[in-house]
Amino acid sequence: MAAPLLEVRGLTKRFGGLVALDRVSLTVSQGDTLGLIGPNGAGKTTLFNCVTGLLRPTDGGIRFGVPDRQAGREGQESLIGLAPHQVTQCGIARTFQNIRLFPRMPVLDNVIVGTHLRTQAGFWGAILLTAEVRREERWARERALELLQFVGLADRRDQPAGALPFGLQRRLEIARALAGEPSLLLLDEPAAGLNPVEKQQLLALIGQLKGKGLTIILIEHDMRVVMGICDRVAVLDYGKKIAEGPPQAIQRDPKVIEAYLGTDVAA
Amino acid sequence: MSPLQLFLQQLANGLTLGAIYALIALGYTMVYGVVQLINFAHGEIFMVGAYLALTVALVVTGAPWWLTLTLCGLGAMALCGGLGWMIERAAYRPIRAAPRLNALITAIGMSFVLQNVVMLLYGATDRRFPALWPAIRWQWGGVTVTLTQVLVWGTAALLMVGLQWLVMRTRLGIAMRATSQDLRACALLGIPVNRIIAMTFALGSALAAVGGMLFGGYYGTINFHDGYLTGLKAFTAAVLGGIGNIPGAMVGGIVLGLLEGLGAGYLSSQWKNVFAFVILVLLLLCKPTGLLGERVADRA
Amino acid sequence: MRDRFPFSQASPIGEKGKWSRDSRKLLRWSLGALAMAALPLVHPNPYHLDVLTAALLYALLALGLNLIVGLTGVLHLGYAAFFAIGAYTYGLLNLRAGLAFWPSLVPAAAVAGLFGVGIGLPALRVRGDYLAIVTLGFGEIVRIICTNLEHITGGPNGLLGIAHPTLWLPGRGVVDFSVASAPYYYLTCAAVILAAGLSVRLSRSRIGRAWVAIREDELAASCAGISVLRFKLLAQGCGGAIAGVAGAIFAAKQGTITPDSFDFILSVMVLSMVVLGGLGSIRGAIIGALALGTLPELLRGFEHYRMLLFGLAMILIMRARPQGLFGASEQGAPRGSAAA
Repeated sequence: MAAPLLEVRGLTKRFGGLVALDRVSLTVSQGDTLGLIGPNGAGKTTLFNCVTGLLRPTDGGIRFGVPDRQAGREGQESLIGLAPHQVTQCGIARTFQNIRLFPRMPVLDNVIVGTHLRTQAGFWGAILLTAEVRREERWARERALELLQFVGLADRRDQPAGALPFGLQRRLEIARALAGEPSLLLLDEPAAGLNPVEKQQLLALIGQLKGKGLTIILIEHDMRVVMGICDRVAVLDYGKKIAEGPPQAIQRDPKVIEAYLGTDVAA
Repeated sequence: MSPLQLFLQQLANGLTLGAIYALIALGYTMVYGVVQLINFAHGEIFMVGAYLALTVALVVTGAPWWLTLTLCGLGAMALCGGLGWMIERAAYRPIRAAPRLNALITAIGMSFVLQNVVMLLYGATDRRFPALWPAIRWQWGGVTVTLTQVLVWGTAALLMVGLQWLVMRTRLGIAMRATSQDLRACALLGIPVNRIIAMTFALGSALAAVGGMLFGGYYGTINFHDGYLTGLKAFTAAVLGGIGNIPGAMVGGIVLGLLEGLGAGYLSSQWKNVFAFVILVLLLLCKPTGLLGERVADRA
Repeated sequence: MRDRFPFSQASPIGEKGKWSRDSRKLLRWSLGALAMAALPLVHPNPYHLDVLTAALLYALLALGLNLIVGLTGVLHLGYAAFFAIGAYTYGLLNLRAGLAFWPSLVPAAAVAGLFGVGIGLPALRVRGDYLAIVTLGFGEIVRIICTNLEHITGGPNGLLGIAHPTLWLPGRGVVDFSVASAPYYYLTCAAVILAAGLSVRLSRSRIGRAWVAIREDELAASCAGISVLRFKLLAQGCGGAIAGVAGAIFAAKQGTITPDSFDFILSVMVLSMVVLGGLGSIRGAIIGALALGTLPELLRGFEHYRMLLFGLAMILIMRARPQGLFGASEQGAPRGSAAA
């Protein structure tokens, strides 16, 4: 798929004297899986935060191509200055480095929250519980259950999310992100803290998402995950993009090795 | 009185109020700096300090006034410092890990307890505060300055300089500042954070106690209900100067005192109290970091 | 009327049990409601009824504040202001415009709700701790304005001679509530039941989920597509409106309202009831309010120690059972977010 979905151009983010992102440019095409790697502090999460509206870039542009979901809406629109919920409305969903679930809510409800923008029940609808609203609730519940089954958490649907073991919390977060039917998924270190078995399962999961045509950007430190699943890899170091290309080429790029990979590289 | 004289008079009044607010504000700001708690009970500590000074004064008789004054001051400081230490130990420390709402409710509960203990012990009506110093006044170009005011300014200035020295030049002070920046790191480095936090509470309480004594001496009467309103105003002062910022609390207190003094002098004193609240609200809405900028630990 | 969603055939064993559990809950609540309704007929002691009515009024307030603090996690220390606004709205509409009680309910709720939103708009831009202080400030400002605007609000003496409600009953004609206890008891009961029903509906809806998401993790809620500001304002509007209704009932019952009744202590008491009952729990708010609301009467002999014991109770409960009676206990650390 050659159609570019997300275009980042010359993105710069400064925190006072610190330059977290330095004129970073990236393009992610529809259906692609882009790996975003780099040493700690390179600016990867900052990039995510700029795209999702949690941070306002100092300079540069972010354009997102909105698929023809609503009648007549095509072409790209700028994400700069949008609030996070507005960015999500465009069709972008994300997970967080330090898992951010709703701990005192049941697992199922966590995912249902993800459907927030696909439902419309307002104040009066909630009070009067019209047929329309009931239908919507039913749809949201079923969709959430489907997603829980997809990530393998259906049997825990009534447990408080905070009670889940770590690996399952990660999967729940992904389920929540998927609930809104995004066209772009941003995963921030989804494999961090997982044991090898869990990592394999995660790889399989992401592979399935790929198969469904979802566009994914993945921040990861584990090279095996990156190599295994990404079509292209971009490397950040000190806020600058120092390399971009297919995984094998990145592996061999001397700049990247110097900055990050060191000698610990398995094919 | 000429307009200039009126202005200077109100200025003097405002400065006196401001000095007292500053002393109380310091306690709020130091505590917020280390544990991010708005210590609702702090205003009551100020009130307790006033009553303790009164009690000491009733006990110590037949001494020259400056001795009585010193004993009252030290006594109130020591007792309130101990009280602040105990409150932290008993009520706040056990719930330090809990959500902040719990700590706030606990602080509010503690303020009820303190208010009512004082009310039960000393009665609900205004208590006349003993004259701890002679009522000398000086005429200075048509403006009256009393010994009271001079004492308030002098004591407050002395204590504030002392605190600044303590915070900047001593090991305890360095530990306090470090703890307010990153409690966990300090704990990992072996700094006895629990003790530092307790000391912070004690110190703040001691200063508030002196504020209480001066308040009593200035107004001549005290009431168990004084803590609430004055405490709130002092908190406004702390926010005004930048919460967590010690020089800020001093500046904030004086500025607020001046604003209130001038406001009461030139506008109606009925609306005096709305002043403080309106300033507080506007401040928090427009410039929550205050005049000198807040100093609070970065939260993840 | 409860709505149950159809579960697929592949439902685990627990589902069946849940169905009858809900039926049993409904039964319990119905019996409770019946008992409450029968009380004045069985035990017509006007003094006790008055005490209960006061506690029920607290319960109404607690239900309203529960939407703001309990569900959405917005710490509000100035709730008494909305209570006051509702009371003064009815008082002024009645004394100046001759409007009776029943038609004044909607304006009272609306005005209070609008204030809730109006105060919320600037206040919500501010960080959690400061938000609490801003709301406290607003609460006090409202009270002081009521005290000082003599020619509008009657100043410290307040408004006097506010009309009691009248109701047309079949067979009895027009009945004036006047100073009888039972009518207000029923009125407040009905209001509590309505507010509880409203709360249940809201908490189980998309709106309620959005509120709880905001409480649990504002950032994540925002990224999940929830407009945090809008929903917080909605919570404040709803909570304010409920307090407005409570205020109108209060004014109608007392006939006289003074600014002193709407002080910070009241805000704190309602907050304590919500916290005691458990944040977000509807029955917790009601039970917490009934418990703490009747406490002053149970401590009749210990008039002087009342507030002291209340303060001690607050400290001990926060220590012993921080999640309150019916609140969800902390399962995993909540992520840092602005709202306390």
